[in-house]
Amino acid sequence: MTEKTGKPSLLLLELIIDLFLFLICAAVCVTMLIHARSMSRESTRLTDAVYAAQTAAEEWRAGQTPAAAVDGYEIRVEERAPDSGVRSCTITVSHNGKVLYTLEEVAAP
Amino acid sequence: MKQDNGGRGLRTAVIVCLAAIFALLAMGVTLMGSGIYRSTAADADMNDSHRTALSYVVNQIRRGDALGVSVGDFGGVRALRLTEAGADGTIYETLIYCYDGQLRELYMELGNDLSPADGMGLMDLSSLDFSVEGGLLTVSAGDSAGNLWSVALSPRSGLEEVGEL
Repeated sequence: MTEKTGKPSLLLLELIIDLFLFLICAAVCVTMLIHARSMSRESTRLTDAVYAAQTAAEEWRAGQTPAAAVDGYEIRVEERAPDSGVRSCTITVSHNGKVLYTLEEVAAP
Repeated sequence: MKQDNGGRGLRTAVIVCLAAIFALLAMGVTLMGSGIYRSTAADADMNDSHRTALSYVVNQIRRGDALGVSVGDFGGVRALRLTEAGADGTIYETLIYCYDGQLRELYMELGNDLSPADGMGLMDLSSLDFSVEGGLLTVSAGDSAGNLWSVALSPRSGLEEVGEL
């Protein structure tokens, strides 16, 4: 009798151990995949932020006032007092309050 | 004997359930992984294509705007023209435009009668547009999904909008 029930018990134990190991591996994989997805989003945001900062810098250099927000990115331009006629400013691009990119811009007189 | 049969049946049912859970979880993780990989690869591809196209145009303008930058129509497509003088005084022009699903560049002597199809294809691109407003040149690149990315530039040597290039 013991011999007859021994095999299914062993199989059950093996399956439980397998499932447990699989769950650990799956948790690690899912964490890494979610991390990869968030890195990809950050990369997209950084690319957009660089172009937004570049556009704002060119607008500022051309004497225009850069837009305060573009496609959900907030743009802040802090102009400093001219030094020997050289104008300079710091352009900060942020998304949802998080600073993504900062650009120092200088314009000759 | 009856009790033993019942216990064995229960054990078999638990084994089948565990195997089913295992299969479902494996399938779920595989589907989730492939979905995330697909979206990450699509994002990377999108970033790469628009960043490359815009960077190329921006750097070409910064490199070669000595004699001015013009925007106009070239054989029915919107194009950007950069002019430069050769050592012997000959004027050459570089035209940048999007034609037949490709970002193209055409370098020729000013006045040559070439068409957009003669340009050298650089990379796949769905659309490229140039607009001039208040001394600023706005370059917009688009992909097949309808996404549009723009960057503005203020060329140092002047910018003009002309009808036909």
